[in-house]
Amino acid sequence: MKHRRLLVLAGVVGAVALVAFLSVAAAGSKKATHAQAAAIPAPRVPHAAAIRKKYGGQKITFVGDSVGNGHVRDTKLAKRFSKDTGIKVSVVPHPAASDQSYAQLARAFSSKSSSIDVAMIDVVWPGAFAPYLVNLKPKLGKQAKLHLGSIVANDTIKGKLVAMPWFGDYGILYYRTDLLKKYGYSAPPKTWADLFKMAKKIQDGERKDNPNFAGFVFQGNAYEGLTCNALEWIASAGGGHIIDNGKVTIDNAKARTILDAMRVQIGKVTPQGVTTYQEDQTEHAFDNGDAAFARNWPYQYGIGAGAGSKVKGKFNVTVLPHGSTGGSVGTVGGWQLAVSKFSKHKAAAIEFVRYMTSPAVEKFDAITNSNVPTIVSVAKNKAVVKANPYLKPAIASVPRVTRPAKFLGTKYNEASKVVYQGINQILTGSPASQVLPQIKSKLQQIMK
Amino acid sequence: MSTVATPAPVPRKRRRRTKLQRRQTRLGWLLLVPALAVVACVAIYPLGKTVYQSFTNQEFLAGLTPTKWVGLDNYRTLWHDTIFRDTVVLTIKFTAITVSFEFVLGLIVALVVNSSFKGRGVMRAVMLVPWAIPTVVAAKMWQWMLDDHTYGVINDLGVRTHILSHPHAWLAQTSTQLASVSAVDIWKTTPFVALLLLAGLQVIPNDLYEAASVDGASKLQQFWRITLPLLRPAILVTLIFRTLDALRVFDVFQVFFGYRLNAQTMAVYTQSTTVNDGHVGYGAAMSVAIFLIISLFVVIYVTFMRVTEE
Amino acid sequence: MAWSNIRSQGLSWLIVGPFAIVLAFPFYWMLTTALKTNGDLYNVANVPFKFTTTQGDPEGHSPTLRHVTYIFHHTHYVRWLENTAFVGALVVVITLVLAVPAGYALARLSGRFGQSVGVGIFLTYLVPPTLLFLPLSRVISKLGLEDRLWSLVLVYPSFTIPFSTWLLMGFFRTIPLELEDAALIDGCSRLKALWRVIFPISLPGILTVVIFTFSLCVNDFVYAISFISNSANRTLSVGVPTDLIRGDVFFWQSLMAATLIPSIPLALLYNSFLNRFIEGFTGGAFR
Repeated sequence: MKHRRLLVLAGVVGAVALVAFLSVAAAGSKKATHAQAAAIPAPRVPHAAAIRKKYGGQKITFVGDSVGNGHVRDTKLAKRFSKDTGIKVSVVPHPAASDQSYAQLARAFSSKSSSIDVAMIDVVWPGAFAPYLVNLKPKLGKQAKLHLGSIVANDTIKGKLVAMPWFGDYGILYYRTDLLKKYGYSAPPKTWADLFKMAKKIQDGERKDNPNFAGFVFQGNAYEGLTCNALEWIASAGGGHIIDNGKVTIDNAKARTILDAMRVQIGKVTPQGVTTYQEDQTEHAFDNGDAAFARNWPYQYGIGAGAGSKVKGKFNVTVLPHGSTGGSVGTVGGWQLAVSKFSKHKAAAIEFVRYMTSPAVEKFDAITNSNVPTIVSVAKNKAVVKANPYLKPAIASVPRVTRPAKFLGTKYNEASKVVYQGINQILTGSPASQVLPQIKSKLQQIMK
Repeated sequence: MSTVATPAPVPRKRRRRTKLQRRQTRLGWLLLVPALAVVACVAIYPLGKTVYQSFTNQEFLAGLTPTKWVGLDNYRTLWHDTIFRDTVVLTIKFTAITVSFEFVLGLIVALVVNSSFKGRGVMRAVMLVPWAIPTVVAAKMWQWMLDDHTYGVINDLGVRTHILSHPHAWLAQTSTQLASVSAVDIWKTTPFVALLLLAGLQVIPNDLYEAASVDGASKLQQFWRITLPLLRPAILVTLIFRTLDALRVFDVFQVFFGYRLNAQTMAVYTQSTTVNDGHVGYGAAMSVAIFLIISLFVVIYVTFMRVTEE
Repeated sequence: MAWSNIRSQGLSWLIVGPFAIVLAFPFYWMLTTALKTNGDLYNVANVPFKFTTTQGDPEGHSPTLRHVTYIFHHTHYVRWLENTAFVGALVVVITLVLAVPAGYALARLSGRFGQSVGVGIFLTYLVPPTLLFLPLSRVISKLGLEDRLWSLVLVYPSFTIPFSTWLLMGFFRTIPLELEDAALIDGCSRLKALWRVIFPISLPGILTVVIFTFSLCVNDFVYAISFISNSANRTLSVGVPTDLIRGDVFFWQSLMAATLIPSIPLALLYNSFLNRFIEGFTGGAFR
């Protein structure tokens, strides 16, 4: 008994000592510097004095980015905005998982909550959230003209501009320049068949030293990202865009061929586990030097070229491959800023959106965070292109494909779930000829 | 006690007892009401609301479609929903696997830790660590440990020791996904089960075993005749709590598989229907069905235990 | 030591040993991971269970404390700890105040009727949280509690009270009636008897409830992520996975450290309480 008590006492003392030690160590160490912290300062707010006069002292809440350095950027810009205009902005990062982020906003809107003033929304959400968002056209219509017409159209629901484009992603191919050279290739693959062939050869060679090496990685988990990947495969093989002109087109011979080709490669040139991968695992594998090719969004470029990366200076980006028929495409991703109808400080919130989607801020964001500007003139700016090679005309002008959100509105998430669940089934072994008819009938059911 | 009890005429005693009883009942209610009120506010209200919603076609973002009363439509759809049927089967499989493993392993650990030996205190502390880790973090951690590619420690260990010929994608392969996710739950929850059972074991008086030893009963006989019967209440509590939690499992599956079609539990499917698809009415019907399924399990346990008791 | 004693000790260890390894292995792995440099962690050639320092590693020597200190400087970690403790403690108090009398009443006073009310209360524990949180979020926003810790303090009792009332009911049933009668006859009122006689005996049961309530609060994810969005107001179970896993960047070492730091004292605390609360667990809820 005595013995036991002693033991417990020792344990507690040990734990307390450990915690104390760690806190002291924490207090004593120098603050680590953030790898990607931007060297350039956040741009000034134009006409700040006029805004301060009208709305200074008001407080707004901005639900912003959580991914990578996005939150750091948001805080920096919000601080600048507050300093210049006197409008206090509290920045709240949204949950990293897109569906949780959607749920958070949907809950807030459906309970008419005024706790959110400005929110960052995905390119496929404006249709669903439109009834809860302020029409920005009267105040920001002029600024919207600077942005890409296709994205502005996406954000315009029934004639109302419910969100402002902020940054616009598209899928690109990352490849290892050093390995291509080592195995005798002078250029990145043009078709998916080329990619598989090259990936196989490089993988066979590299596995001798690195048993973890994989030829190709992408996002194969049953989540929104797989819908984006699948759309690229199908569209680049000439198999349509899942839904075209209001009709479900996914069940066709070209789509079947490319999807089955992908299925065959799972566990061969991709890791078996790719069917549970999201963006993070993709980025991890590639930036650790464990993959020859990766499909991802442009944000990965900044991390790969950053200080802690193992592939710094050893990789490049290009357009995604295409099928034997068809041409390269990239799925449009990206984020918009919107103002809630239940906000108590709508005018101040709109001024914040005006600042955040201005050319100066988009330029700042593109250079420091490798996010794709939605403003055409910024995307062509020399300094921006230099920092973001995927903005080179050859890559940036590749046809963009959009997920069928505009045909579906509030039903988009449900439809997309049908698509990614089905595609995930194919990748884990079911033939496309079996799954695609099921996807088709479920989509038709939803669209009724 | 008998020394202080005073004998009294029968009729008087009866009257006094009923008066006392009435007072007791009043006090009982007084003590109960606050808890009942809170439970009613935070649980019964939403529950009732859910039952009501299950008869409507309510949508998450209701601004667009007006909510209508649809009677039993949702339940009819649910009856023919093969995905829901699959999730029920999967959840019950998961529950059967995890609860039985956790019970057997937990019992062994409890029995051993109950016998006194050196280092018992350390064992108890170490075995509790998994339980103190938030589920989501544990799930993320195991996802990494089980990965076939990015330095999964389990494959690494298996390959180094030549138990595995090559790394396996434990979570991606349909054949191993249920086993993997169950292993994680068993790892996390066995300590909890062991503790509940250990508590039960400690209540059993030692002299029972001594008497049995004197009568020449073997250790195994002692286990079957004394330990198991006396442990019955503890076993019941443990099984019920574990079964309930396993039937409502959400986090681990969601972290591992997203919304993968053949890897959704009842709770994951309900969540995705309600929040992702926005079908609040249909999701509510699903919740009510889950509620009934879980209640069925409780009823089965309680009657089974009552029967074996008699 | 007698031979038979040694043999039974050995047998115990033979059975417990493998369990201890299986249970402690992830713990050990977490500890080593928490102290590794990125260069060490992500190098496949290195053995995962020991430290290897690579020449020219920008983070210097492995093991290192830099990833542990990160959580103190770059996240609201200390706030999350405080928040968790705050919510946990308040919910424990609320739960005790409501569940102790209710459990007692159900065990002693209401007879058959009490049993059905007890089952009724327990049934609310069956309601999946995924079902409760939609209606609850409306309540929360009406009360203006969004993004505040009070929302969790309000919501958690919905599952801690049924659980605790039920455990306590079982526990009170095992306390001999005679003890109470003696107190009553000595002139105590029933409430006084409850306070003076029953309460001290039931301390183990009450401690059980304290510990379980607290760990239910620590483990909750669904409510915490639904109602709290501001990072500084988060609790551990949400703050750790959301702020240390930023979509694409996994701060593995920090993640491990953040999880281990509270779990070690918690486990030890549990253990030191164990002797006391061990009887409290089962008591006899189904007798």
